[in-house]
Amino acid sequence: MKLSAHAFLRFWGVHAWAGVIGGLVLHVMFFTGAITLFRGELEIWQEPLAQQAAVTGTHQALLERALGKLPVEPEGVWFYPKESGAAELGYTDPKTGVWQRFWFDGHTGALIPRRERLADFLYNLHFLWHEVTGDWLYYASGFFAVGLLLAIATGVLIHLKDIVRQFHQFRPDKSRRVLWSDMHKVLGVMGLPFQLLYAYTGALIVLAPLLLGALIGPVFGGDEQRAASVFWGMPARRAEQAGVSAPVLSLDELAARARAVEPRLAPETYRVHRPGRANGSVDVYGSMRGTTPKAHGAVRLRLTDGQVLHVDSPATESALGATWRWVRGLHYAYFGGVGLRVLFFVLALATSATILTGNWVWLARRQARSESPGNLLLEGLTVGIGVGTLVATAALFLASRLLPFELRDRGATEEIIFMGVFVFCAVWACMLEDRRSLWWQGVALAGLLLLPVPLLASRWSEAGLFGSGQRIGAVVGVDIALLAMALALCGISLALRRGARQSAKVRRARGAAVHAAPRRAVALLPVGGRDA
Amino acid sequence: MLEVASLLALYLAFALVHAAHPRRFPARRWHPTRAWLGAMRAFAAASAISGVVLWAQVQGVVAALLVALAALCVIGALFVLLAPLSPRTLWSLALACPLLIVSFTLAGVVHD
Repeated sequence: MKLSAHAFLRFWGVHAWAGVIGGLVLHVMFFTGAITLFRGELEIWQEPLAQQAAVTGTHQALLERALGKLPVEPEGVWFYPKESGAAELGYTDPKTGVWQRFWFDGHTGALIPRRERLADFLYNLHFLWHEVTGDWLYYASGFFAVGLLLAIATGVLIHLKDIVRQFHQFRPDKSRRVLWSDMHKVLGVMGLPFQLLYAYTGALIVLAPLLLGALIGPVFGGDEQRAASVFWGMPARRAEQAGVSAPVLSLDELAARARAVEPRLAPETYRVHRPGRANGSVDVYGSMRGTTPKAHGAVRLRLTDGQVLHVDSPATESALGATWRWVRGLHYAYFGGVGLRVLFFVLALATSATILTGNWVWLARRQARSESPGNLLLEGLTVGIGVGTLVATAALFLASRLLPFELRDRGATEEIIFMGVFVFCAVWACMLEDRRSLWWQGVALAGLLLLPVPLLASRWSEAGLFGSGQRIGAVVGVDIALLAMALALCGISLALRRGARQSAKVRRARGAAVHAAPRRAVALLPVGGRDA
Repeated sequence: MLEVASLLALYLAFALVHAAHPRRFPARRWHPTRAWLGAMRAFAAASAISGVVLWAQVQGVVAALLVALAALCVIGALFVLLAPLSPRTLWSLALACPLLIVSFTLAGVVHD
């Protein structure tokens, strides 16, 4: 199918502008999303408390000990006892309304505030959420995902006539512009199913609450609880006074009753509402065995007699619930195991590269006509943000292993380091006149910052690659991945440096030709424009 | 083991599809006929299906189809980008694939 010249130009314009406006933000989202695929492993790697041997005893006994240490009596408690590692506890402070998270060390009985935020920070950055910026940027990330859908659709339309050829064509021996253009098309076409999947599911996940808000009135007659139940599976609790104290069933007994109702449920976490009260209840959450993508279910039971109040599982879900399970399952890669997450990791990085090379091609085309301040700014931002994301993430990992755990506001310090390095890179790149060497320098810096991290990790943990204690798969895996990434970045930097030097030689040769040859002959020198 | 065999089968499938074009055929001195190119495409399809079947032994058909799609995307991108830079490595691996697939499959079956 061949488009008319008018349609081609329109689609090309929309594709290019959607990429230029949203591309750099999407690059950050995909890059951090790639890392976030291994959030579970990172959470174990970053915190020595998550690596200790679990205490023996019942979940109820552990919860009671932890509740006894809390300075306040919260309305509800989220409790996560783990098969290995310290238990986690969270609640909303009734005085401040701020969500608090703690580790509960079952061996010493100490309640330790969550002190390491690397994995959480990268996860939140993936959808642009932070407690400082609030929800508006989060919702903006949903619209950026919609913008990506637009860029993908128009990109497919403009390449439809020769999409199979783009599939197989990469010409590194041609000019730099052709190389970037080929790379953009190969990665874009090959990554198309992945990009479509993530843009679509990402937009749905972020924008669904907005949709729900719009539907509560006309569809559910203003009944928020029913709307939440249809949309999210588990109905929201109604606000009520704290009841009187009463004898309650243990969490272990309640988990056994939940399993009796839904045999596929593997209980993992508990959300206890009004613990120890007559009107209390518990949501027993867990993954469902034998589901693809892996589903998560919950059973709500009354604390006093274990009566089942609600079941949320694939067996009871509505069509909307099943759709939602697939959307989340595909986006969070709840299938295929570690192998699939590695594939998705590569595809996410490839998408970042598609976006950056797209900007580069656009700039090369426009700068061939004129060097406007806007083009120069975009060039600076593309290099600065492209490289800055790598360097800032490497600096974050390094800071995470260098800062002492006793440091007050440790998490905030790490976040400031990340943002400081990121902004510095972006500003520095915009201020430089010649940015050609910045790519290899930035990539090399990121590699060098990341290189000592696995070794430094052994300061806090004996379970890693360089530790001398009993090894834990997740910790060793993250150490190996960091080492591999550091070496890969150093290797890429050397390749980029070689390429930059060859380009400089070509430019010098062209410059010499400009001085030596008559004007008309210079105009005929190859610039690679037609090849792109 | 079966997962590795599955990924190798998908690798072989993409390599065959990539080579099944007169301009991209790796042996420069030999010009394949249309029948040869058709046979390569047929082998590629068979290899891709065997990749899905092998992964399905571990995690079920739905997961296998999704993983195969993701794996073909990654393998395709890496193959096309690396083929001009290091052709011998990539084609040697493709040639070794049938033997490796059989070895890993047998190892996987025996291990399980």
